[in-house]
Amino acid sequence: MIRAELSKLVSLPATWTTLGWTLAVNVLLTFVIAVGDAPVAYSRAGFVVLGVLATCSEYTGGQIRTTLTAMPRRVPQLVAQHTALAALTLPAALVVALSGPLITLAVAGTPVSAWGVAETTAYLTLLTLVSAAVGVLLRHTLAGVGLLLGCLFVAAPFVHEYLPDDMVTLVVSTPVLLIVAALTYRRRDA
Amino acid sequence: MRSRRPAGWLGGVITIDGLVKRRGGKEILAGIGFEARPGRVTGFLGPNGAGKSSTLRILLGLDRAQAGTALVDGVPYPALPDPVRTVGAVLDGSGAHRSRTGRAHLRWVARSAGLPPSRVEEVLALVGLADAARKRVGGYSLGMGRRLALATALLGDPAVLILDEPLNGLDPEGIRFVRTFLRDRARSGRTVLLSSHLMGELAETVDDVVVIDHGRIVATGTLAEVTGAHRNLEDAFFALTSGGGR
Repeated sequence: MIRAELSKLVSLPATWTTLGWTLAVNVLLTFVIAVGDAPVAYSRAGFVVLGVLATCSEYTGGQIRTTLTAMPRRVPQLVAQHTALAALTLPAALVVALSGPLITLAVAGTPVSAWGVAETTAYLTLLTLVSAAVGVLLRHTLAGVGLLLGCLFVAAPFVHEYLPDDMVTLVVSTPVLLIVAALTYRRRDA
Repeated sequence: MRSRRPAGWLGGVITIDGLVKRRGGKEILAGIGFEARPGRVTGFLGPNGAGKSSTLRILLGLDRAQAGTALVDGVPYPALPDPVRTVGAVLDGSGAHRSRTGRAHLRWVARSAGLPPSRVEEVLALVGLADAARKRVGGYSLGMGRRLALATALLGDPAVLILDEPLNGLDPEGIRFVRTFLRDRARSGRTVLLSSHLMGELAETVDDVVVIDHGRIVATGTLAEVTGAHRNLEDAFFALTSGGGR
């Protein structure tokens, strides 16, 4: 099942377009506005799109019916889909997380913080999984991307002082949203 | 249990019993039941909105019924040990994402069932899509999309084939292909269950008939039994469903 889900992700052109643009924007922003991993604050939007696309693309062309007739046990299928997504995202997130600090190292000679890179990679991967869970709940790509970007870029700065640090929020919200998504997905009409 | 079955038994008995489906306070299925057996083409007939698609979706585990059972060889679809090799389903549309190629779509389905990539090429050739395998599904015609859906259903060479309105949107050549193909499947001992609102097109294809109207079964039996004293299946159908707001 994981291999089938991975094959699905890899054969979707939008997966590669999204990742390509995300990396390009991150590199560009590193040169233009900032140093180190600061541009990730913007380029993380690409990972939101990637996550939402991974689950919402099921609802294009009636693919969800093919998915659920081939793999009718829904929770294992959803777990396989998120596992495949994580497996694809992790290396991509690492590349994006490394790109900024490496450029800064080359240009300014600032050493790369291994811990910082690891934290950014984990952040981006979790963000992608949360986005995928939101995609499962909304079943609509634009709505999902809109809601998540609204949360990240509009709502988050307002409530920031009441929330623990971004990473802690994400570590808590990822499993919660994944479980809510799985429970909804298990019961509803496809 | 399996060893008691006669040699060459493929299985594929569909048993639907007491199925009730309500959506938004409206009763779509009012406790329907029927059976579709191996070696026969069963036509599930009724006007649009009678509950045909809902029944097939419940049978495939896509939708949930409020009451009743829909079983394949005594098991609900989601509990089948090997769904792709047991049941193939052709619902409306292609069932594929428009930006993937036909071949890529079949590949992931094959992979989900542990089928080799060579099987993908076989079904592509079988439905006449080999030349379009590298094209994106978004560029397919309606008929090509239907053929891709059929290819997907045939990947596991299943004992049961379930088709929702398989003749919709097909040209005469396509209709002829589907008819002959379904007859051949039944002759090889497999179960074919197809829904349709086109009566005239089906009389030569089906062995058994189940007629549904307003979420209720109004007739079941062999083609001859359901046609009865009427001139043909079409007349019988209109007589049976005439109470339904026509």
